[in-house]
Amino acid sequence: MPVKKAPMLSTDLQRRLEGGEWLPGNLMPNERALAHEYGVARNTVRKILAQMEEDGLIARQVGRGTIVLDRPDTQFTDILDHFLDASPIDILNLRIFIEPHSAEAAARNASSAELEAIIEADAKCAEATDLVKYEHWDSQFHKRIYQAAHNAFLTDFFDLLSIIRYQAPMMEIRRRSFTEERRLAYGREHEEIITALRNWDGKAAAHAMRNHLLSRRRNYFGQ
Amino acid sequence: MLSQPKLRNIVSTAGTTRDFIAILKRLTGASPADILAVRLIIEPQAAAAVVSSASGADIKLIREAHENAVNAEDLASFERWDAELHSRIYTATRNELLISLNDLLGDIRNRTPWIRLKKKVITEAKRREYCGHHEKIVQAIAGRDSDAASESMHRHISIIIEDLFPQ
Repeated sequence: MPVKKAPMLSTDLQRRLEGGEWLPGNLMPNERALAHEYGVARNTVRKILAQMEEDGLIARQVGRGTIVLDRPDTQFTDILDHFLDASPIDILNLRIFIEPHSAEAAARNASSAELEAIIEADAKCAEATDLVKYEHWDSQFHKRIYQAAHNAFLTDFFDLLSIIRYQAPMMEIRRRSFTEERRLAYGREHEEIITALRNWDGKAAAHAMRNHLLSRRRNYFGQ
Repeated sequence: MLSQPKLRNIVSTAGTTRDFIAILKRLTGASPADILAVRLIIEPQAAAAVVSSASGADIKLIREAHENAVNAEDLASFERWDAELHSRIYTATRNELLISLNDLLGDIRNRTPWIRLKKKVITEAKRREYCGHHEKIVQAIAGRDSDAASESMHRHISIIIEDLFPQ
């Protein structure tokens, strides 16, 4: 899969920062050194450092260089650890709790633009030629349903789950269980959800979403 | 020498540790209506799930929290055992993620505006009423009746919502 250099560089720098390679109060390598290390233009590095500065991770001072700032985020350490330790089936089971309700709420709350966005994500799923693209648009399909349900907490929570769901080993589960036949079945299940949403039929939307997630659970874990 | 990293590094195609923390921060600022809607969705299902997942020891712990809430002498102590009761129900689901979600929701409910609102709303009579709801919930779980567990929890949360934000 081709990866754009800028996002990759940005992710990698954050990872090194979070991993403690450069400690708070110390200097990070300068633009020129980073550009050389990653084989990218200095301009690319500059843009990413600007973004990191805006996010409060670093401070750039003329004549001194790039200083790593303290992060006040350690209060979340425990919560983060627990979330990250969740098993795949715990995640799917929680989605089975929540997403039928989101689909039901979306049937009531979705604007036509939001509905179009959901349909678009499903169409992109159907067009996807590899698993990574398919998963991206499938995730968008579900995320857009959350957005259409108009509960900001749940929309954010789904983003949180996505980060956990797309940790390294999880993609392997998907790869092993992904067949053309299952993909077609997921497509039909998406269609049922969309039809219910179009008809403003909350009960049918909840039912179709539940079926869809149950079928994913069966395919991944055989239960 | 490197110091011990404080935050675990997330390797995911959907975001970094920093993204994760940013979302957690946003979640803690969610609106009360959204938070209560989430509890109304999740807790009845958690109560129903516990009917099949709870061990005898779990049920004993749940009942003990309930009894301590009933016998609480002041609002603070009632609140602590009330929260403990709900949290022990989550724990008995054995779903790590659900338990974490409850911790997060609990964290949010300990913030000032929530405490202020509860102080205003939860009278002595309300405490007794909530304990009555808890009794039904605990009985349903102990009696392994998932429909009753889900319904009694749904009723309980619905009434709390109505008390906190009368329509």
